[in-house]
Amino acid sequence: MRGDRSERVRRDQIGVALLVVVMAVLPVLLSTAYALTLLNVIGLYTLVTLGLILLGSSGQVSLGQAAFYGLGAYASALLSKDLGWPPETTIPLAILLVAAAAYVVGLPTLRLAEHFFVLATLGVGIIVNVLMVQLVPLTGGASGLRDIPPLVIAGVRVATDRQYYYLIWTLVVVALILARNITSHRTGRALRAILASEVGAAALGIDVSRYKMQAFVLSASYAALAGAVYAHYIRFISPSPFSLYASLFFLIMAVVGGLTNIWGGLVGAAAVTVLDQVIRAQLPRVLPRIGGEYQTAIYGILLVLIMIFFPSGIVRGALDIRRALGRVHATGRAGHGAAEPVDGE
Amino acid sequence: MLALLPQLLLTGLTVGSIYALVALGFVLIYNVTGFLNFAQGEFSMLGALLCATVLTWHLPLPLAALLAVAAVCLLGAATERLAVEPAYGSHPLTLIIITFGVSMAFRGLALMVWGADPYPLPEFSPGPVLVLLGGVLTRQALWAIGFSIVVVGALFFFFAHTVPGAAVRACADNPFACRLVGISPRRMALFAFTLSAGLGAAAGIVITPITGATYDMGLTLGLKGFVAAVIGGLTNAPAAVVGGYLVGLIEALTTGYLAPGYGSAITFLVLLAVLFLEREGLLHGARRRQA
Amino acid sequence: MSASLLDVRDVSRRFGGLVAVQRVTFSVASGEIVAIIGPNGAGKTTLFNIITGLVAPTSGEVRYRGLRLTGLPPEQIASLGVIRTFQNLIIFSEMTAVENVMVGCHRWTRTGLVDAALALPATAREDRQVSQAALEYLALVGLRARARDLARDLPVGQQRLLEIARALAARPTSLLLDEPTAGLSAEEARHLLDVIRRVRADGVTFVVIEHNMDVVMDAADRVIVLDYGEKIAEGTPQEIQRDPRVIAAYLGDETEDADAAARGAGEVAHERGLPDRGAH
Repeated sequence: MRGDRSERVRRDQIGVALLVVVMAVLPVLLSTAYALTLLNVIGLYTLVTLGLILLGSSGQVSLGQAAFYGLGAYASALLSKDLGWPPETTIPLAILLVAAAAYVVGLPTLRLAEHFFVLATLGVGIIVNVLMVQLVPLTGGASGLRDIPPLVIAGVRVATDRQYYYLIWTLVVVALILARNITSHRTGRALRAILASEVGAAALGIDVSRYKMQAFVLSASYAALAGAVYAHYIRFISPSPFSLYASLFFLIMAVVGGLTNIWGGLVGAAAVTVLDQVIRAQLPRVLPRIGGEYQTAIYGILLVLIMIFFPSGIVRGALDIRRALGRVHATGRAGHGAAEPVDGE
Repeated sequence: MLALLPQLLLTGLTVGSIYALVALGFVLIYNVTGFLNFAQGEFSMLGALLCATVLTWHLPLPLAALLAVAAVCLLGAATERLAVEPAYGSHPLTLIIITFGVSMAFRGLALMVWGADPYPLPEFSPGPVLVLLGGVLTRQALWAIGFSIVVVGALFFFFAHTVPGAAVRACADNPFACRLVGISPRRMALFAFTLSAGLGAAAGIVITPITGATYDMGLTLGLKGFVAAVIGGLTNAPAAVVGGYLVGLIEALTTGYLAPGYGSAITFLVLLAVLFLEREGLLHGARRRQA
Repeated sequence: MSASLLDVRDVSRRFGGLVAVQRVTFSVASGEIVAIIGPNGAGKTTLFNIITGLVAPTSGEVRYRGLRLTGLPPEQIASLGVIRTFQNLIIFSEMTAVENVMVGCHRWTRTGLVDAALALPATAREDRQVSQAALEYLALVGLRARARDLARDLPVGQQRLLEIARALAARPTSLLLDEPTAGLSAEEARHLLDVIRRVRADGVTFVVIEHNMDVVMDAADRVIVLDYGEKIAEGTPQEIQRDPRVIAAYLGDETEDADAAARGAGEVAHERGLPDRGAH
């Protein structure tokens, strides 16, 4: 069993090391502005999705993740633009504010059973988006906020795609390590127990609501971090990237990567963002007549298929398939008829 | 200010009757399967758009409506069999996400088939509007309100006084006992999806002469229907209908007296308030289901 | 009364028109092994659910060391040392056997989110301590060899033992076992009884729902008999064996059936063939 654990630890360590190396080298190989922007977007989405996955690890799904992403962006943008505070202060401040907001939202809603919580986060998402559009004096309404101050770190102005690339992916690595640690140890075991059975977890003295709240506040904080960095990176924000549609998009990323697998955030964000780019580029050629959110159909079907066939995400799904194939192969060679041991009754 | 009130109340009742029908669909599926079908609103959209298409084949409106409702019933059954049924028994989140996926798929496909422009439907019985207490009520609004009342009555009769209705109720109470007496809960789920889809489609068709039909109308209708169903406590059909009218009225009043853009935000504030107030009761039910 | 650890006082629970538990009163002294027996649907599991806070009683109250448990959430009752297992087995199926038992150690360990996030040395120390303890509990119930297997891959009997090991790992002061020997082989059941006796010697109190009368006769200090949600008898195993009401309840004589019909509870009779209501 010690071997089991250290094996997982080593796998994660190798994963992180690999990620650091690949991400350090990547900008040298891909240096077009398009590639860098795409990678930056993937990095930001990874942060947002990691939040959803931390939440998923406690057995919850949120449809308000884009709202927290947006709140982080608006909070940091407004604090730095209107009050003139430096972004390196307003980003952490925005995260704290959003965490507090998530706490307040979670207080009444986290006690609810799954689908009520989903509904509540959906409601919060819609309310936040309506406020972004309607509170014109504060948010600039649908036309958004311009001229958001740039980020300055240690006297260096962070402005280019490349600079943001290194900043964003450093944050991704740190966030990933934190998420990995949180889903290990006593806290991680409690979360996994809650995921398996809230009743069973509570019967062992695990304070289910408390852990769910921690996961929820943390998931909102991850989104807020991404949102705040996004605001100072693009330097313009409007309500549309933070709509219900965006929340669904993040949910798809989390589902594709695996709702409880911390590596799923990275895989899901990368896979879905690239897929989205491909669809946007290719689908009009196949179906020239249509515009708008036609890709919804593809995402919807994708969502259903993944939940039916790979409910743990494509990473685990692929591993399971490989293992199953390996088993069939092995038993085939051994010449046994029945491949599976009968599992209880 | 007050002069506006009768008109707002009438408008609220009209849209409320549609929300009530959508809410009934949720309650029906929830009672039988124990989860919320987040694709419920899309059935209304599909009903309305299919009806508009069938109408272009020069069929009379009642026949077109009937065909559209029947087609959506089939789609509802297909949804249950193809998307939901394979995932029974998995984590509740899986089913929630699947119904979301179904809703996105329907919305996207509708956009591909019908495009983004609204489709009209003629009024069921064209004629001059009625003036009631200083407010204006279109004949179609009367159809909507009347239809919702008839459907609620019919459902009530069905569940209280017919054998299949009693079977559905029994199934909701105790799936195990249901199997013992030879009723399959799976078949009941299929039935609930088919009936809910039909209800949703009918609601969509009835409201379209007033609002027009677009590929994305299901999202709003579905969300308002949820709120109505949750206000009603999710298992109680008459309460869900009352919830539907409440949501319609709240929406009409906030649109009339507050800035129009806040309508959906207020509706969801009501939802959060209801969830907050009911959490003890809801929690208790949830615990028992899980144990 | 100072000697009693667990007090169930006049507890009733209705589900709709159905009375699952009817004015049940009993006490358990510290260090006792009390068996609760009764036909299917007698309300045994509902009683456990009430004691552990999963179901609120319609009336009556439960006290533990004089402290009122009724109204407390399940996790607080568990953290007071009242730990239970479930008739329908709640194991964390995607975790390994040893991880399941490590979750059981939650009650007496302390590291939290921040310790974990920063991987403070305390977490590593605690992990070592907990995995050591978990292996010992697995060894105690005879599952040491299966520590690294996923819980869902174990046969039902071993899953039941795993659930018991997990409950023991919580270092309970009272352990409520719901049909612990169901699905166990005779040998496994005998071994489990040894474990229960050994743990009891350390001062742990047991309340056990059990169908296997040999086990009850062998292990219980005292037996409580429930039928139709009511306590119909209480005494030593020998007394219970001779009690005519108990014999009637188990054999189901005619007066009993007439009684049920008179209460207009056709559902009750119907329910008797089903698993315990509380389990739904």
